[in-house]
Amino acid sequence: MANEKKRVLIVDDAQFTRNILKNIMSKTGYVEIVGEASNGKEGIELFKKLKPDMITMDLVMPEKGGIETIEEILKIDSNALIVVVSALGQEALVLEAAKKGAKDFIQKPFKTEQIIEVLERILKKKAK
Amino acid sequence: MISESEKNKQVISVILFEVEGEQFCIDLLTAREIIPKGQIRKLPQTFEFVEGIYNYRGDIIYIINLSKKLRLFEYKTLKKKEEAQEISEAESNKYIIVVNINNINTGFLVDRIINISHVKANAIVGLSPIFETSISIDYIKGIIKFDDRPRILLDVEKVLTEAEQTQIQKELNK
Repeated sequence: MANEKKRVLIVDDAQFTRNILKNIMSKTGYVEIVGEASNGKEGIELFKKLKPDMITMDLVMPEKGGIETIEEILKIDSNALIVVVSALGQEALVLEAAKKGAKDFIQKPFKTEQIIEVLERILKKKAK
Repeated sequence: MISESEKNKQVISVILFEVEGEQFCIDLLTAREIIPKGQIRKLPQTFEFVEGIYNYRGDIIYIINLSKKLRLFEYKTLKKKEEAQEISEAESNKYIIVVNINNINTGFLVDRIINISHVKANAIVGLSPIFETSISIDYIKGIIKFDDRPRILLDVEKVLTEAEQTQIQKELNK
């Protein structure tokens, strides 16, 4: 992994989920959480402003849901690396997100190991 | 160098799809987007496996008929008729998986998108004589041992040969 920290934006309406993701990712030492958004609309605004290396995206949120947000972010930057955060039973939504261009998914309840594996894979792609 | 234990921990996300009743996987990272098949314009002179060109977000991309490219029809005729699943025209070629092959966006025409899943790297095995594969080994990155049955992990970058990629790039630049 390159020396420079990778910049991650978290989009999730649950503060609790954002905190868990933030804690796990920050502890890796190579990730910096540059922004947090509690809905899709805010997520898009922060994406434009912060240009993060990766975005974690909840699927069900008020104002603007994850699928619509993924579509809009990829219209702004077709190379954006989006990882979907899903709950059990949301397989159809995850598939829909992948069709729109999400690059990976993390399933709740979170496992630290799973999040780190996904981070490494995605950020390796970014480094290429 | 990646140690064997590290390799065993690695996971990749794959998208599982179907062409001519056969199921294949590709690494999700290689897919840009999956779109329902839209209007594909036929080309008069090109490879027989090229279905045509498609306007993808303002870019003209080539659409590859995977069934023809992987010569799946040959395999199907070899299989006993009762084993072969007949795919009606309405069910075939419903989606385009847009992939990036050496910086050229290309579309793969497929029948059905099944799901996406995480696969442990140690569940991906090399080819061995015990596997009967429906396609040439040139296109195969590995075999994924899913719980129900193994499936082929396609090597996206090898679906088109270098010569084919060059020719397509030339045609796109015309």
